[in-house]
Amino acid sequence: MMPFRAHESLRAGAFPVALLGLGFFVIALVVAPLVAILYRGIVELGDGSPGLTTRYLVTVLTGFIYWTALFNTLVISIGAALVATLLGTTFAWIFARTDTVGRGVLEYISQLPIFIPPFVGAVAWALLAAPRSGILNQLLASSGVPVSLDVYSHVGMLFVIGLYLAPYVMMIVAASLRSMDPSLEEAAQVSGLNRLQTAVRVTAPLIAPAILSGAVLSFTIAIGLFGTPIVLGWSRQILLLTSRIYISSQEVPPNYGVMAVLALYLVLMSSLATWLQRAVLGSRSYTTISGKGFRPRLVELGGGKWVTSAVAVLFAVSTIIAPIAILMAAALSRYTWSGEFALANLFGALSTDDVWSTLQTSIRLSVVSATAATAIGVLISWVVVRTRLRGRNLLEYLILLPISMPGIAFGVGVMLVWIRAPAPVYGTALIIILAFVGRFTAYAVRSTSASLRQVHPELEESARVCGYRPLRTFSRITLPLILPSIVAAWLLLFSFFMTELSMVVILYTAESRTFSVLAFEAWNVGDFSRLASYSLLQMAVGMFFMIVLNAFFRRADGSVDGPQPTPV
Amino acid sequence: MSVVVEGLEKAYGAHPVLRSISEIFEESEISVLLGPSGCGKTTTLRCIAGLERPSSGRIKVAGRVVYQGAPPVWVPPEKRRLSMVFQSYAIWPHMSVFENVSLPLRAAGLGRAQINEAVNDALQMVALAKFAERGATALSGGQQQRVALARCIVSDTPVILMDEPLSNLDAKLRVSMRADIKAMQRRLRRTILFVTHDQEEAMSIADAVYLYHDGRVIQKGSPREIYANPSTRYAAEFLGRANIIERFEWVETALGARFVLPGGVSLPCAVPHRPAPGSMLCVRPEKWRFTEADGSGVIAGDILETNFVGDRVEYVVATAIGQLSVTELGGANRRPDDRVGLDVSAQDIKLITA
Repeated sequence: MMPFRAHESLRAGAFPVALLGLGFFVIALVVAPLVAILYRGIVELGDGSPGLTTRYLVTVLTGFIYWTALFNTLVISIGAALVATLLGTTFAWIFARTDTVGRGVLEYISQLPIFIPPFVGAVAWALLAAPRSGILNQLLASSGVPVSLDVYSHVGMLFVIGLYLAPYVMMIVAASLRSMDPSLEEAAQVSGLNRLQTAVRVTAPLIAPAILSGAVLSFTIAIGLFGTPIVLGWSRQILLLTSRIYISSQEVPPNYGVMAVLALYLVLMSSLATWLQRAVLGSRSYTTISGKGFRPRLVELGGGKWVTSAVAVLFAVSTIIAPIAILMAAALSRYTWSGEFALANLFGALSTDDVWSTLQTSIRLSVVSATAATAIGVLISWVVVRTRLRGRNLLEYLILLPISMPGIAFGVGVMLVWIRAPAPVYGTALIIILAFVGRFTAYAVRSTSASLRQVHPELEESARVCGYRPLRTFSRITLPLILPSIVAAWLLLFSFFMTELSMVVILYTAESRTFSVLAFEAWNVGDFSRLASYSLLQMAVGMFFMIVLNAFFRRADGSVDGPQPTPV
Repeated sequence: MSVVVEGLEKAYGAHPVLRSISEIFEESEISVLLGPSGCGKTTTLRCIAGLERPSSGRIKVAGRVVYQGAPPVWVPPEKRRLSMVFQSYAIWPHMSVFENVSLPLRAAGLGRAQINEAVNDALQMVALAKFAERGATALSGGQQQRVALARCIVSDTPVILMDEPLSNLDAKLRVSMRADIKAMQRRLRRTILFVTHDQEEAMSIADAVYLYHDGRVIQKGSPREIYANPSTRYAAEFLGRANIIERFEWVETALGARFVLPGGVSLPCAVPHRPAPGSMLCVRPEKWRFTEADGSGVIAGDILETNFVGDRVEYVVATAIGQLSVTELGGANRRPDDRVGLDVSAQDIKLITA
């Protein structure tokens, strides 16, 4: 294939100005929060002139509670990553390589937990398996089984978190299994290896990079989780770094220095994990990914195909079906486990002014942020993929920087940037938009630049030669061709923003309370019935967009030969 | 309506891609820019199209200056009134065949009736009239290629640029598309610049070949001229196969000049004066003739390999001056280890430079 070329004629003109604008955007919204964390952690901003200080570092490094938080974060995140990797890899193999009954539908269902907000999953599991009061424990006790579940423990927390992270690992590993050339395994068998030897010597090493990527991804998500560990860990004060950041933010006055140092911890941990992954993978190439669709031979499990099917169903029950059922039950009760159910309770909880106004705020913030992030993302992708402008690689590097960064840490950074700024941003809804856009534009860039790379530059050059000006070429040729990825990015971001809690919880004020904050407050006051109603609504939003996204992609894929536009 | 480039230079950073190219690509001819990848032929084409900005020089299309280094002139690609066929065909996948072909006319702002007529004519010419409403990506490679051609001929641009247009087709289709392009050219008499790395394709399609080497045009002429009289070893070996003899002496005898080679071999010579130092001799494989008697003629040798390719047989013959490639049409049933004699006419031994 020819190397991709830039548009020569765009070198001149107003273009450097646009790049300057993008550079300013990246510095203000992406780089500044990162720098602010570092700066605020080591610099004293008293009434006098700023000076270096070790006060916050010492506070954190000598405080037993902070060491405990670090320990808890590590234990729970590593544990959750292990659970997720084990489950995810197993399910990837079951769905991609065996004749498990109903694997198509089951695989689709097993991806759905990604779209359940972590906070909501935690609430459901608190209802299911809280010590004594959890419905499962009540069932176990009444049936005389001397075992009880406890999600308010380290093991319980890492199990619940791992359960909800498993789909990420599953999707990565399944993709790797599917894109692997089956002739690699066939060659091993022809060479005299039996099935087990083939799996150990050929298949496992080939998908090891994918498994490792999945494990690192789940670890970095786990350390940044806020809602889940708060809900499950609060009653026994199993507090993580994210919980500590939140507690510091609630102090009067908030302890910004300590928040900055704790945020720095999180940034360092996620960077370390990513670095470790690169170091381990090193120069190992992903040559198994050829882009070709292979149809690997399936392992025939015999009677076992019903067992694996049952295991997959159990996973779906524990991550989706049981949580939805328990949330429904709780939402329909007047108070938790009153035993009386009425639809009126659900609607009653959802039809208050508070719900209405916070929901409006959420939608407004999400629409604006998703639109801004997608538009900027498309622009950056285009600059990175299609021009030879100097600095474009740095631009891409910087914009992708926050992608593995815990949201709460980024939220702290954004707050620190604007809290002393002369512009009236702190305390308004705008700061949440700036945080959303700064943290999540990376997703739009990734989605659209991947799609833009698929568009052969000759398609654009051909239009130029045929008489289209650059702008017309972009709007009539480039844009329609990458539209599916743009819409997908927008939908994904919108559904993220609708349920985002870990950044919002640091940045919201009375006028910018979002729906996720409302749900968090309901948990704070222990109103589980109301909380369940809110959670159901959030889950419905997440699921709805997952389904729209899926439908959209099916249509986009199929439409190549689909309805043809009429000629002029 | 010719295309003229004068002193055209282009560098990527410190790496020069075009080193002062000055050529006239004649009106109504198929000019083939031939050379291996990285020699600058595609860059020349893209500079003419306006898809690359040269470092210096001047480009004139149909008498109009479209690029000039100093004082600066830059006409963007959409204003150059050219057509181009790309290596990937560049068929827009989100448009129908009709929309693909009609785009140049829509860009020019033509009326609907005019567009319909022109597009239908163009599609007729490439035998795709039935596919107008079809989605462009639902076509085979050959059909996509013809859509790209239709898009070129639909507007009356005087110059058509073709960048390796046939390289993605299979061998059979490539040969028949060549014929189609030649037929189209006979009918429309446009000026065509055709880039390829395939010497056989170049020779079959070109009115004039521009042979590129390392950013320069090192030889130009009709395919026949270049094949018969390559000026350099590079030209001799890139266009067709050649036996190159590096070590020889030019000797004047009573019977005229001879080339004397190591091993006591003496070849006939039509060169009346002593060649410049560093010259070499070039003999095309089909210019050798097998002699009647074994071992007679100017060189004796043993057949090492035979390669039967249908209408001819290609031999490798071991001789005192090394291994020679020899081609014989039809031919006797010679076998490896057969002792043979080879002859060659004086005018078929060409003098070339390194």
